[in-house]
Amino acid sequence: MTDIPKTAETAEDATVLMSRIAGHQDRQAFEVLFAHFAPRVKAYMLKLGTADALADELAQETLLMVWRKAEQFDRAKASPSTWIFTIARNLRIDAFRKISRPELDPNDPALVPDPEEAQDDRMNRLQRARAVREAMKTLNDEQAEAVRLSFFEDLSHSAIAERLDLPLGTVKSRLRLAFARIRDAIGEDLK
Amino acid sequence: MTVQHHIPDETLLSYAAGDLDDATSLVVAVHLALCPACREAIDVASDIGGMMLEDLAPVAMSGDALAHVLARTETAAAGERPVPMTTSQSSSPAASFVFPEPLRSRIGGDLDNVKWRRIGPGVQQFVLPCADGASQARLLKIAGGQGVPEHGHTGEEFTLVLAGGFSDGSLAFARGDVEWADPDVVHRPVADDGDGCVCLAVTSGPLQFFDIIGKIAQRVIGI
Ligand SMILES: [Zn+2]
Repeated sequence: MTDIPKTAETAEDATVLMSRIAGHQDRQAFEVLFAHFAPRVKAYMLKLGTADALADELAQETLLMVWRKAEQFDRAKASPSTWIFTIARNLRIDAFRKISRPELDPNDPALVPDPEEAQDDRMNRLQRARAVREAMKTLNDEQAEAVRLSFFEDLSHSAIAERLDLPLGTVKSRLRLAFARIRDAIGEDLK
Repeated sequence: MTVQHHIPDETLLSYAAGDLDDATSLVVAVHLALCPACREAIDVASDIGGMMLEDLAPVAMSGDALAHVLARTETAAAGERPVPMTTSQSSSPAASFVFPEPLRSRIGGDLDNVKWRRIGPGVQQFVLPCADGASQARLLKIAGGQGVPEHGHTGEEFTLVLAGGFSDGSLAFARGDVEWADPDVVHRPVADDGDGCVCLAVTSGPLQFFDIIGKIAQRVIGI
């Protein structure tokens, strides 16, 4: 019966799976998505020092949240892997804190809306994710290391400085340069 | 008015990575609500996270993980934390909110609901509850023409304007603008004449005041 993608290897296929889940509560699509992402979310939790059982539990929780929030997944806003990353990140933080992570509310009437022209000028989000991937390859080793430590070691700037035995300012400037480089590469011209 | 003074890029990156303490995350999130440009930057930073997640070597899930999750998709989310949809239902008309989310949720209301405490001439504060002690977040209400006593920091300081404005030397800060100061900076923000200024200030490490009144204030009120 199915035109459901067999894997979620590509962002396009994962996007199709997401819309099947959102539109039809499609369990088969969810199983395919789960097979791809749950083991990666678990790996992410483990990398950040979470014990095995909790890592498994948080990965389950993340995918459950993907099911429940599927209708909020807005393909114009993020690629599926980016969206799932943000859910996993927040669940991990919330598991260790009494107050949930401060996040903006996109429906808040007090939110200052995006400028009109930005809506169509913006690169398609899947293209953008691809461009970010390409741009990451152009970072030098030091910049890439600083970015990796930020995402996978849960280290503050000063903790990274300590780990690498560098002045704090050097760490900040590596991160700043890495980020600037990525944003340049995808043609963002902010600020 | 477009925001002129932003959260530093490396702090945005760390927010996306999930490395910031609670109070610093709060000031970033509130700035994001007021600054479309930084929201764009955060989307890009989050793409880095998505890409890194994608590239991780998968680790096998426990045998019954999928079955567990599928079983839970059947049940309504009863008793579980609801997905944070909009928390903005309120009798107040939209335009009248001074505090954007997630600040309103944190204090349980808007500007009118803040229980201010006077800490010096023309200066009131409200200390916000935070999930960890790494940094402190507080609201400051400074009367027009008044300044926070000159101070340096042992850590970073972010000051986000929510209403009114202030100036520090030659720089002017209005709603949405953030002044960032590192431990080397000694500064003295002064609230604009007229209505003064309401801001969200986040500091890591205690402030260091340089005049005698500041020192006493520090001892007595523990800011
Ligand atoms: Zn900004």
